[in-house]
Amino acid sequence: MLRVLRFLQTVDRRFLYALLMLVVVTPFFINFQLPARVSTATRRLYDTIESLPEGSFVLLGVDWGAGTRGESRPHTEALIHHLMRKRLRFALLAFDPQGKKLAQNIALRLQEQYGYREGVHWVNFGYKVDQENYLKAFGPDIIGTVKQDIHGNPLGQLEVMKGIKNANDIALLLDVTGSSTYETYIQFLQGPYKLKMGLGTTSVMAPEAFNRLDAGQLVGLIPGLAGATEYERLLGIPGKGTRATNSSNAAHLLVITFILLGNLAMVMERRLRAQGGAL
Amino acid sequence: MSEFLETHKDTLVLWIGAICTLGFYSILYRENRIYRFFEHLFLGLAMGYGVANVWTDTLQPKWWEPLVHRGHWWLIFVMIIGLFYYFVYSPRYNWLARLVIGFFLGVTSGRAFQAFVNDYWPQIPTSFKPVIPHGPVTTPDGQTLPALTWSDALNNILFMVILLCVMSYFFFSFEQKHPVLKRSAQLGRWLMMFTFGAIFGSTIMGRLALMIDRMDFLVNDFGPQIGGPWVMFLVLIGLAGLVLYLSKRAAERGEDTGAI
Amino acid sequence: MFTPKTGAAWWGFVIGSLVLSAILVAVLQAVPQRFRRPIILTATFIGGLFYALEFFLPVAPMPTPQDPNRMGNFLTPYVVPFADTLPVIAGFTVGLGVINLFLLHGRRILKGATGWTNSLVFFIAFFLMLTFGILDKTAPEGSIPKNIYYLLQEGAYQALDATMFSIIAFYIVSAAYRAFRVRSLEATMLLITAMVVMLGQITVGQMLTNWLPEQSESFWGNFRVEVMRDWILTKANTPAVRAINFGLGVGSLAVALRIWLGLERGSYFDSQR
Repeated sequence: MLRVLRFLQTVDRRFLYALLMLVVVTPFFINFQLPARVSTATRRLYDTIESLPEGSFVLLGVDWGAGTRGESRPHTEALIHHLMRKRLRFALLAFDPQGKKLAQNIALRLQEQYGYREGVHWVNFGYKVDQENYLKAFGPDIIGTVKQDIHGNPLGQLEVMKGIKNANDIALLLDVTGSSTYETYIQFLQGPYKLKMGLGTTSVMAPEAFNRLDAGQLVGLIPGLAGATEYERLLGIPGKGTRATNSSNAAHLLVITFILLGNLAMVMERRLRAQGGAL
Repeated sequence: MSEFLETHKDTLVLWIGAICTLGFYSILYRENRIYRFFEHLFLGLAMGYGVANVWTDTLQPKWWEPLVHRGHWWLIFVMIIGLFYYFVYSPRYNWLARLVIGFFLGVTSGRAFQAFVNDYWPQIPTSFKPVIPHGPVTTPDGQTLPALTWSDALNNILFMVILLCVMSYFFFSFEQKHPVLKRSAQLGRWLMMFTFGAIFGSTIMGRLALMIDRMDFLVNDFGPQIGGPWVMFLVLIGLAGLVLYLSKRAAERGEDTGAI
Repeated sequence: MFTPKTGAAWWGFVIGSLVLSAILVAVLQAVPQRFRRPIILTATFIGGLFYALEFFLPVAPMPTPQDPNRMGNFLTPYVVPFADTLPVIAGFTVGLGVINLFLLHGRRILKGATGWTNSLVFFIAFFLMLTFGILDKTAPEGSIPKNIYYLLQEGAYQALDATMFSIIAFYIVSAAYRAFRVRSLEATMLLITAMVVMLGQITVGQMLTNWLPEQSESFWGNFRVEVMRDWILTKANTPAVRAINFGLGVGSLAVALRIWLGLERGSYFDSQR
């Protein structure tokens, strides 16, 4: 008995890895999905975008790379879907070098579906370094600071930028991020210009971001993969988030099961040892 | 070449992606040459990508373009200041690097006041929450505040208790001798476990999401290249079986217990 | 003087600026050791003074074509040029990391040390990505540089980056199973919270308490797992995060002040070299 209990506490890591892979991949072949319940934080962001008048200008920070693609891509996809569906103008701005390209691909893929055109309805400002100083200059003079889009077109000549001069002209600031870039946005753009700001953040950072939601610095937030699934449900467009739901369910259950098994075995072993028996 | 690339680029991207993914995953068995190869490939690509993007998106439009094509000759000084950083490699001229680094540290410090005010000040008034239940209230400026229920009030009290207790835990400037402070600091430590638990639970989801994304790529995106998702599924099971077999053999020889 | 120049005048000003810079370096280098630290501290103070004064000094209406409602003081007009230039200077520092890696891998190749072939792979990958990354911006659609960049970026780089981070999933599951044991009150609280959060964020977990009435309908609705998760994140986690944040904020402000005023001690400020 003791041997079994010991084994349950020291399962080979590679056996766990194989099991994890199996429980993640198997659900890809199951089509049935349980509906996700939408949290207040996600709904608030959805409602904020819904309330914007057509043609409003939205700045979408895309500060993520392939390293957080599993969560940040569904966030960006869902938000761009929503912005295009609501006929809002938007600009992509990246402080992660991969963000500009990854978000560009998403916007290009979705634009046909909504009759959007780059330069007319949306623009990609590209990748920028030194976020703090950049935003200090960006706030008072957007055109002068960004100068050109990622294709080298002068920003002031693009139709999408018509009437947009400084940060006061931004109706909503969104940031999809896998790092603390949203804090810098709060410090140098949201705070000084009193902008409405929404956030799509990785699960790891979500608990910290709830503080900003309570403080009113964020109007809403999409926390991790769960948030992405919820947002897709609100939109009625099942995407990457929804597709990952079953795998996420199975993997979470595996983790929970093994944590419980390990603890149960530890407690039982302690009891057995206290009784002095090696049954 | 050009035509071949244009026609087959999407297929090639899938194959390259799958090979890179499986090559990196080989670390899950143990440290090995394949993993080392892909690790260095990744390092080179990441570095090259970063430098290329700094040029195309920052230096080229904001420095090279105005300097060379618009005659803004004074931008040469911007480059000189930037290059001062490189004196860090010279023992003789090192202090010049520290001069420019000192200047930038100063800029960051000067900016910290604005950052602090915009970041933390809005959090202070929102920490004072109403604790007496009431019905809907209309303020003098015409705004209607929603009703505060008993459970809201209770949650607000709890909010402030947690805030004060956790803050008291971080009073390191003096010894916490007073029994009230001592208790509240200890309570604060326990209450922080809510946060750490929440962060841990969320972290699990975050990391799993990244893995699901990769598996989704291998099975659903790359799978059709080799006969369908099911075939890739079987390949993955085969690879996992191979790893388990090799691990078992290594364990029998006493080379690796696989416990960590 | 600071007007755009063309042709020979441009060359003259550029070469003149370079010569002036070289003279400046020589003059600075001639500064005696004992004056160097005060000069660095002065540069640090001046660096911080601009943003600090611009933020603290009283403001008055100061309209511009970009912002008719702008408020500011006499320093405000310089914020955009100043802040716009600093990222460019920061851009030039990108080579610092590159040099370090070049030195490390270059030495390994030259010595033929173990793993030198991997170092070679690093160099090849770096130059390929750098070259095609720069060419990609101007290359026409369907051209060889554009397609090679596509393969490098979408095929190799993205896959490797995503995989690198996804490996943590395997490790974290193994670590959670091994380390998450209820050995103390704190560990038990942490475990229970993590379990509720994990169950609350997955649909199958939410299904476990689906039989309970909605929160708005009954008191028992508070025990639905997704409601408990929301409560933990918004009511229990938020104040604790905020308290930690306050500590962090005050601490980082104090450090910023110490650096700005030159009170910070340590190898950086005290080095005499």
